[in-house]
Amino acid sequence: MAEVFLSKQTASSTATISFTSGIDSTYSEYLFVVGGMHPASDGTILGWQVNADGQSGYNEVIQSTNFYGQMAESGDSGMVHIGVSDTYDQTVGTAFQPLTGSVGSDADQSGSGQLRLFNPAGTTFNKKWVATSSCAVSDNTVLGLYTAGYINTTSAIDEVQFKFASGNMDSGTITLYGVG
Amino acid sequence: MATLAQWKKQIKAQNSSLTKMVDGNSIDLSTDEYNKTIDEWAKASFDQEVETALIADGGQSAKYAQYRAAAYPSIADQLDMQYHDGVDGTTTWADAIAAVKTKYAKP
Repeated sequence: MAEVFLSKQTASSTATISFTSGIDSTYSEYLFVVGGMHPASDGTILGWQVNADGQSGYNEVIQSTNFYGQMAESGDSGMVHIGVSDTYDQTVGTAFQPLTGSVGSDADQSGSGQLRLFNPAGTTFNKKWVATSSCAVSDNTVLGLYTAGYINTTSAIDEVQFKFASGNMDSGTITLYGVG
Repeated sequence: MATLAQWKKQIKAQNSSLTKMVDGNSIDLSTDEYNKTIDEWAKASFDQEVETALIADGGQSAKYAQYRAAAYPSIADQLDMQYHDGVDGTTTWADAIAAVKTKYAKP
C-alpha cells in the first residue's frame, strides 16, 4: 500500500494543530505522522481528538486501551516498567486521547509517533484506530506507548486535532498521508 | 504547591495571546477560545503537580493500583529477593512489597 502525502503542518508556539480538510472517502486509511513535537511546558502529554461530520467540537466518544514500556536513561533496572496505565486510555470518554507519554521540555526532548485512522468516512461501523509513539519523558526516561481503540460513532470523521494537555507546541511537525 | 488560581495567573502571564494552526494557517484564538485554553492548561498543570507530589511522597489515591504497579521491584528482582529470603531467612521481599502498599494506600 502506498502512502500519499496530503498535507503538513509545522508548530511554532501553537496551541493546537487541526486538520479540517483532506479526510474523506478517498482513502481507506489516514496516517498522521508526528515528528519531534517539543512542548513549551515540561511533562505534558500530546493528545488528539476528532470531530464528526456535522458536529461541533473535538469531543467524540473514544474507547481505548494501551500498553507501554519505559526505561531510565541511567539503565537502572529498578526503573524498567512494562505495563498498562489508566493515564493512557479511556472508557467511553470524550477527552483528548494520549498519543505520547509526558514529554519533557529540555532542549533535546520531544515526542514522535503516528496515528492510523481507518475508514473515517464510513457510516456503518465505529471508527478503529491504532497509534504508537516514542517520547523523552520529563524524568529522563524513554516511554514507548501503544494505544488502540475506536471512536464510538458511525458518523463520518472529517476533522482531527492535536494538542498538548498543557502549554503550546513549541516546534514539531504533523504530516497527513492517505493510505490505499 | 500552587493553587489552581495561581496556575491560571501564571499561564496567562506567560501567554498574553495564543494561536492555533488550522490546515497550515496560523490563527489567533478568540477570547472564548483563549480563556477556555488557559483554564484547561491551568487544570492540567495543577493536576499534574498534585499527582507528581503523590507519586513522590505517597498517600491515598484511587489510582493506588497503578502507582503500586510502577513502584514494585521488577519480577527478576522480586525472584532474587525471594531466593535470598529462603536461603538466609530474611523478609526482604515481603518488606519491599509492604513498603509499596503502605506508600500508596487504598482510599
